[in-house]
Amino acid sequence: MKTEDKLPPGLPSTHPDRRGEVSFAYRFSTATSPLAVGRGLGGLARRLFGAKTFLINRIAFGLVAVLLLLALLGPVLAPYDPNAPNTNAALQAPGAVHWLGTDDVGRDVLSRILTGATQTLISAVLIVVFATLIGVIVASAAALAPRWADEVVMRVCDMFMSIPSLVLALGLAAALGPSLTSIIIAMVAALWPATARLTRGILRETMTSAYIESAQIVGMSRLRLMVRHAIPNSLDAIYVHASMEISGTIVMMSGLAFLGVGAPPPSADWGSMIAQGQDFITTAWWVSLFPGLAITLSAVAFGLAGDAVRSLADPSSRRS
Amino acid sequence: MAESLIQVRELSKRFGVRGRAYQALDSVSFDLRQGEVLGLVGESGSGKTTIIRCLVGLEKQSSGSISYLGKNLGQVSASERRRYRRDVQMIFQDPYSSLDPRMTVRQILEEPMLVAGGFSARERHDRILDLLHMVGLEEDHLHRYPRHFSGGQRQRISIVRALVVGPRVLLCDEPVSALDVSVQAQVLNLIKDMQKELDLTVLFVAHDLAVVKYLCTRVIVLNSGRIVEEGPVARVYGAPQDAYTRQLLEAVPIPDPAVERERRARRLEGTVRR
Repeated sequence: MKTEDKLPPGLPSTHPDRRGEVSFAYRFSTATSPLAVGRGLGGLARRLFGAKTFLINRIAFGLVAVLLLLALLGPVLAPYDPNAPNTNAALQAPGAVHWLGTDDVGRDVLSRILTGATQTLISAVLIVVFATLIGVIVASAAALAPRWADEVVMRVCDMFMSIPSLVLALGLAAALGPSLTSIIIAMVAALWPATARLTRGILRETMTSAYIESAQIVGMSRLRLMVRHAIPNSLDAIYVHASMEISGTIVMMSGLAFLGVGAPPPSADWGSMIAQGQDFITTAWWVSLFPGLAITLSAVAFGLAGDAVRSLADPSSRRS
Repeated sequence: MAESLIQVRELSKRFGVRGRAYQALDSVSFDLRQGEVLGLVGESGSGKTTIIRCLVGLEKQSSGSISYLGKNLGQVSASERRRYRRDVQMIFQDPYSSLDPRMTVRQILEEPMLVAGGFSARERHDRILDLLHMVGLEEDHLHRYPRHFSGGQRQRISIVRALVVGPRVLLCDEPVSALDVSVQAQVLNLIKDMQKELDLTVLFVAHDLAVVKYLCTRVIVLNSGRIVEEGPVARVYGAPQDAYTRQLLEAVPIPDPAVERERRARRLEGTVRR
């Protein structure tokens, strides 16, 4: 007697051969994670701006919003051409005409800071997004891979992490030649291992939780478990890490520019502006000070925002 | 005698490396017969949960075999394997960690059917609703998240999730031990009702002997990975053959202060003399 004929009474059980009746599109839409990612972001946004958010967190997010807006509108808002030299107005002190003064070739410092904001902030965000993506992909692969492959990947990460990231980025950027792209590539290369390590740990832990085991019992593949359960449940930690990373990235990028491996000369970069002003810092302090303040302000704002994201994503402070 | 659904033969499981290995199961053999509610009792660490985890494939046995409907699971085809995964479902001990906190109840309940395959959207919807009503939950619970439910409700959701693919065998890993005493009885009754209604075969793991007596028809007593006693509930509880079983039964509290006090005194004396 064939086993299929002996299905239990009670609930109608269906034949295994009738798999595939569900349309692939439907399955795909419910099983892939962009939806889950979106849900996670939505929940986070609700928590970020919800009524119960602390004042300091709101200030941090407000500041970040203003900075990002400035970054997008910077070139439009700049009162002067940031790259046009004006030797008649070199090293002018801050005043009514040039709010933040001019540098040694007469370029308006405010205009240069505003255009520099676009470059610095947008690329900082891009760097962190790319580093996080690479980190999460590597971590998922490592968590799915057999033990030895996982070990190899993690030791490679350790190797990367043992080199100070500034030195690593400096070397890479110098080797790739002076351009914004090479800075971004170098920074991504320096940052992804930390994300990968962190994410792998979380994923490994999530993969042993009871709800994953229960999906495993019905026969869900490891890849699908990862995409459908483990990654969505690790997102909070990943967001927190990424948001904390941004402020460090801003400082590091400026550091690279200061050391001369930033974008090539005419372009306004906060780090290179400081470097440019250091020769006459005793007579014209504004050339170095204002870009420095811009770096500080952005780093603090993103740092506070990262902290806020962490406190909001913390399970102990979570409300339903 | 009823047909034997699952046959466990000489099942052994060691954890850890040689030398310091821990023998969780030592040549355990038993049958799970169609329609029965088999209790598996023993203290913690006696291997109850390991048996269940081996049965659902979360743990690989070190040696021995598990057969379903007479076919050894180690040698069956992929489609047979798939069928087994659908026919044998499990309820976990902790209702707080066994539901994905990021999924709505509907998603949680649909998932097993999507993974098993072969259910149309209409069918999935109907089955979920049928079972939800059977366990006493409402349709509008479907859009909520697990954190909105109490432990008892979560365990009901877990029961629906296990039953939604239409299994023949339900494995329960101490399904009520994480719950309040007040809701334990509700969930137990629910399992009992579902067993009758859907003609399920149940393997029920518990360390609470009262629960097993209430629910089960047959009981297996485990001690350090070995079966020490096996038989109908009435026989094992009425006339325990093994010393360990007698000890376990002795430990069950009796709701009479006088008897309890007297027993406790006797137990204390025993330890002092030793």
